[in-house]
Amino acid sequence: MTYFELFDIEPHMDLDLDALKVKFLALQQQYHPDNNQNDVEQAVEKSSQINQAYETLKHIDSRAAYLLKLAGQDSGLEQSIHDFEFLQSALELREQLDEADNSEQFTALRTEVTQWIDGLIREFHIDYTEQDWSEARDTVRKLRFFRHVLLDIDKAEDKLFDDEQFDAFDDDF
Amino acid sequence: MALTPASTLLKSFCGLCNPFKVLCASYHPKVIDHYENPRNVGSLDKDDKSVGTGLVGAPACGDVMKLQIKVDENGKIIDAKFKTFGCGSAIASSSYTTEWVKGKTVDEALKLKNTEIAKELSLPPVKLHCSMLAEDAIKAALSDYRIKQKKDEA
Repeated sequence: MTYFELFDIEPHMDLDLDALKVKFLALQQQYHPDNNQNDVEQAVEKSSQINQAYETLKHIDSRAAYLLKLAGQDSGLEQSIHDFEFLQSALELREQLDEADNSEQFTALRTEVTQWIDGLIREFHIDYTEQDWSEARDTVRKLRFFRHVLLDIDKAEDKLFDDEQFDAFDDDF
Repeated sequence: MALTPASTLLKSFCGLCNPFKVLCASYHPKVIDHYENPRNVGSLDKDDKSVGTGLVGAPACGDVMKLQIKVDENGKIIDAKFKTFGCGSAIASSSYTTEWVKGKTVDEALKLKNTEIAKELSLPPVKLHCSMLAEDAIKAALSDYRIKQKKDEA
């Protein structure tokens, strides 16, 4: 049974994430070991499968990777990205993130990354439909890359905010 | 995070780092040394035909690594520079790699294996991908150099 079948949805990039979450909670409830006293072991196994499926389908990059896996085309997704132009933009983005020191800059960076991601999703649609697997893998690598960049933007902003709070605290004494 | 003070090392940015905070807090002294005193940070002129540029990115953590080499007329690498945005291990791996390739020939440099980098820096298994990125970066730089030379001959 595929993760899509588990959630009773069509295997597709476009998912209603709210509906996915509702379905996830319902399934968790249904297979909760407390509600399946007659076969706890199987319920635990099913429960962990549901968690894994939800984690995979929830994120755009892992969902795309999973679609490639279902097509038997997911090998080498961990390989380095070699697209020079893409990496030059990524390097610039990283430099800007290093220098960012106010919320507006973080917001601008987030917007830029989100636009990149939107473009990559459109690319993946085309690659996937045309079964251009090598391009599709490249797109998934970039999507995964950007998920981490987004996390790093959040972390950098949190850190800045923490430091500011610490400074304010320091001033009181 | 190539040029930030060492204090940020432990709050490093690598995506894989966070589930392994304990591991991050116990970087090997060699990694810390390369991170605190990175060798060969900077850039070479990428349009110079004696310069090879490798630029690679890791999907697993969002790290970007730029590694450049300058080769003399005898095929010997006389200079190497890097610029890396990533965690301490990625920076240490690229710093070590630039040191290692200096003085080697292009053919010798091709033989560098990520396992050697990882061993030298005592990288833990979760950080092996950082040394792989460095191997990919030096290979990309060497290949860029060779392509430039071939174009020149033609």
